[in-house]
Amino acid sequence: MKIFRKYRLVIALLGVLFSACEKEINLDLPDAEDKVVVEGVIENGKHPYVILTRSSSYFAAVDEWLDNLFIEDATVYVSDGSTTDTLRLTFDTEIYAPVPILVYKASNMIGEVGKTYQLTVIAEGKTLTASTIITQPVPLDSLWYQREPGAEADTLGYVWAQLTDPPELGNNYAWFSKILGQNDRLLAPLGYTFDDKFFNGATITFPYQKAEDELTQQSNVDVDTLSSHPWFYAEGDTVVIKFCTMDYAHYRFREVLEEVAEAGDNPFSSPSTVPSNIGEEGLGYWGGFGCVMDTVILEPLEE
Amino acid sequence: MTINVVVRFFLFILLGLLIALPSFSQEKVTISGYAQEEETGESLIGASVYIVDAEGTMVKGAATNAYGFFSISSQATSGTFYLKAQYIGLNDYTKEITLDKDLSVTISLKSNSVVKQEVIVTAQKSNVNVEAVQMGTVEMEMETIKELPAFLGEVDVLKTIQLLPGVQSGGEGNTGFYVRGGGPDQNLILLDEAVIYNAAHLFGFFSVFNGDAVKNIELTKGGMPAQYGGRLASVLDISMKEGNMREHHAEGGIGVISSRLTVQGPIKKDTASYIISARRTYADVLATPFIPDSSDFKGSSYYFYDLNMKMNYRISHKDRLFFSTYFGRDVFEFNNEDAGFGAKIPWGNAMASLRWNHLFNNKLFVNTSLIFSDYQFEFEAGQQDFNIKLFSGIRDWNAKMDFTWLPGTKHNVKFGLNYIFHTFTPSNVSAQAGDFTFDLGDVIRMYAHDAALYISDDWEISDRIKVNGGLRATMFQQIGPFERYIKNELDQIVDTVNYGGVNDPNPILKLLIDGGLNEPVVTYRRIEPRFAMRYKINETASVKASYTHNYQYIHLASLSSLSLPTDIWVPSSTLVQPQKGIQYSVGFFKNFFHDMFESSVELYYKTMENQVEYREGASPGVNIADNPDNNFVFGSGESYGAEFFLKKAKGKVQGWIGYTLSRTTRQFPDINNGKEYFAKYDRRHDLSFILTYKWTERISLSAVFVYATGNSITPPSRRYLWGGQIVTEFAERNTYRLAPYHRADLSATIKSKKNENRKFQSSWNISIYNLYSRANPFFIYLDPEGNFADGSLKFKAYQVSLFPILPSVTWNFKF
Repeated sequence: MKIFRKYRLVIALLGVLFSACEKEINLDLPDAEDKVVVEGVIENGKHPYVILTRSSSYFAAVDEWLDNLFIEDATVYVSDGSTTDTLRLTFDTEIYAPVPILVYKASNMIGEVGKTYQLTVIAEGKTLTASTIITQPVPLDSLWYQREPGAEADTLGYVWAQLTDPPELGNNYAWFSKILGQNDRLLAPLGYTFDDKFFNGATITFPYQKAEDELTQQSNVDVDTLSSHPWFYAEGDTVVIKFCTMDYAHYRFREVLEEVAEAGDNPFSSPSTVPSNIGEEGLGYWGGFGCVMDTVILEPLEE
Repeated sequence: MTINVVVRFFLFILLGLLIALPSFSQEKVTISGYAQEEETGESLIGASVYIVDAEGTMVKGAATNAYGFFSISSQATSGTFYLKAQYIGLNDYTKEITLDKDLSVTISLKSNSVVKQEVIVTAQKSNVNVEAVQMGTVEMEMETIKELPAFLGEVDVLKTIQLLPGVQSGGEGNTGFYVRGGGPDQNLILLDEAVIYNAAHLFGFFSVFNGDAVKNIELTKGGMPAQYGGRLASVLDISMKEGNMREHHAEGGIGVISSRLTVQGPIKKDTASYIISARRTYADVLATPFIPDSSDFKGSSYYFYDLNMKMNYRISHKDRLFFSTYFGRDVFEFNNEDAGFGAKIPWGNAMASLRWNHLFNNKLFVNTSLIFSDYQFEFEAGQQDFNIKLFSGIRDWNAKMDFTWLPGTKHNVKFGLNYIFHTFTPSNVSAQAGDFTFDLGDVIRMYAHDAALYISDDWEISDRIKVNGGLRATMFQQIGPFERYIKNELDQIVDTVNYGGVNDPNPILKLLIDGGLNEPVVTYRRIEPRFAMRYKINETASVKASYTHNYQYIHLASLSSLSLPTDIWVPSSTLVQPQKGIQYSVGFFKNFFHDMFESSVELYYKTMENQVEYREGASPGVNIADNPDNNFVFGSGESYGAEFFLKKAKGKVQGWIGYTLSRTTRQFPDINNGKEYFAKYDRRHDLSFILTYKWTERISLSAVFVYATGNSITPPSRRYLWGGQIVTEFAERNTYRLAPYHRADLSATIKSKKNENRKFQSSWNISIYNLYSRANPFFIYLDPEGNFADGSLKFKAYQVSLFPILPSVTWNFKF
């Protein structure tokens, strides 16, 4: 849906038209004080979890940052207004599989659609609070695979979906996918969030390309590889789709986050501030998802 | 603006005219007429015309206006006097006259080559810079511009004016310019009086002005006189050539990037003439064979072209008619069959102006213009069965009358009126996926009336003191049809306010038929006082001061620091207030060695209110199905600086040094947490050094050196992990300076040997851009490399530079 993100073409064009040259430079910047980064998710039918990490000055040494990445001595609890659950630090190998992480996880509370959840984090001498809601999930009408005529092999294509958007305006969606046997977890493809601003209440069909694992792969997709494998699904695979809804603030956070993550593509724009709900003292987001899961086997449609 | 000040200005002008009246009763003579080039009949803009007595002492002088017209009034007296005229590159003109009766004269100046003698420039009346009340104004002839080094051989007027103090370049190879801390939309760019809304081709590397079609440029960066308005920062007035009145000629050039051809000649000798000038780039044609079939750019191309045409007709000594047109387009096509993606992006300007000069008598001159100007941008792209079309633009219908009245020997009064009907199409998007059409809203157009009345008087109070007072009254009214979307904090449209009217791309016709049924949306009325004065210390030195108060009703909103064709013009509306600019400036002007050297120091202080930016985090799609101004935030700006200028205007070696020390900031409550920040075009230091050397009759050399403080950018401050991605948090806006920009260029122009028997002449221009191949920063980008899994992650910043040393050769011909 992010049809306007074509700035990479501009850069590529500049490069072709003029013999642009580039060199690595050192930016002499003052050190920025570390902040607490909150990555908290609460989803219907699942225990909420919160990953607490530290930020780093942009050009500071990477080893030192990663060695001290996780905040291990925080107090974290979630309240739904009537009950409160304290989240305990655990070692997790699923959320960011195959990379093991430390995560604060609830053992009793389970996310319910329509409820509002308040998060409190006490860490690094600061108290951070945020609140979110689990929105009503919207199931996809159907999912299928379709060959892409432009692909370099005729056994490549996209996963398509049909969605009937509820009549009221303001539905915000996120799409995650996992190829069984290939991906270690659910991944977000480029432009994985969208809203119903332009098709409110309508039934639409749309394709999604394959998602990349940002943790284990280089994320640079250049124009030269536009037509090759990274964008297409291959026939024969089975793909799990998780389709979620979220409130506007959560959607806006993810949308701007994706823009900022792509900022390297457009050095001419003014950098955006990611609209966190954690407050000035921290970074990140505490967000609720209303999700449904589905599976599609990649077989060409019967002619 | 208080009523008080307005009243005072009216009183001032009235007083001036009252003082002028008694001089009617005195014996007074007026010498008036047109100045033109003998060989071509082309009228001369800004030529110095003056009367000297038998001893050579100047009695009175004037400069010709944009149509080559002048009028000088003096006390009637007996004796012998001489009418003299001067223009760069032409021989001086002298004619014996008497000052006992009015005289109407056509001054013809011969070119140096015709006279075939070494011209010894007599140090006469070349102290216009000291004499004029106007400050912050620079005039340049195309001859001067053509001698300077040209980027890839393309002579560019916009790049030349960037070499003047107070004018900053938009960036590497960029034609965009910033005047005294103002934004690029705050420059009024006029081509034969028609507004050019986007003067740039492809990312601003080339301007739309074909050097062969341009006669003269005049830049006003401060003390804007009352006849100009609608912009805060500057007026760049570009005049097209009129065409040879005597003979048919063709000239052209073949360069690295483009080729040009101009033909001109009389339609009826000494009465009517035409000129047609065309230019097209051919990078696409040249590059196509070299793009391998496997490349993703196969099937992609880019080119631009410009067409200028002008006709003029001298109906009588009192009436002249001019018709000018310009049409230019950039066409970018991108095709990638493998990915099933294709796009076609044409954009460009079109204009036409019809002007009628009429001389009521030798004291009252009027020009009436009817002008059309249009800028549009289109984008069509498709991938698989998804198609998108985008259109944006601005179209003006413009009528104006400008009077020049010389009531006495001491006054030069200008007054006039102007009306513009604007049609804005900020963005109009349609998208389809298969059979499904996305609901991207109706076409949102915005219509506005834009009217102005002005009067100004250039009043010579005494030999030493001259003032110019002016008043401009302006009205801007957005009218229906218009739909205002009211949005809630969730960015959803909760209400729509409808203003009635006829929705049509050319509503002026509908308006004429339907009789103005369009409902007003919002109306702004403003008074803009202007004041300037000069105190002459002696014949070679003067002090000047000026005060200008301007309003700007139309705004350019840009999401990018590059000059992109997607930048949209929007009118003042219920949300967007007119921009307001106030500028104070003082200057000292001094000439040395019989006006061989001109120098000046100008100081300015400027405030700007109601400046427009997109809100933080706005993406290029925000305008779809929305009023663009719903995504704007508003703030103020401030700029001050000192400009130093030293010019050698005569001799074999000529040139200038311009240096500007300035500071420009912006402050928006909703940007950078409300803290003041440096504008992206804030330059602490800006230096230009230009040298031309006429080595022999045939060979001339020139050199340019520029130095400017680096652009300010927003640096990253922190990185963090979220959602398995590295996220960058940025520091306060524009707190990091890129490395300074500096560059030297050289050029040589070699003319073919003169052969009197042959009409054909040719010349070679060899230019070297960026002589020492300085890697100037164009932008920097951040690139985290490696990944977490194997511990190879590294954070790096890269600086991209565009142009290394670039030699170019252009061959020009004339016959």
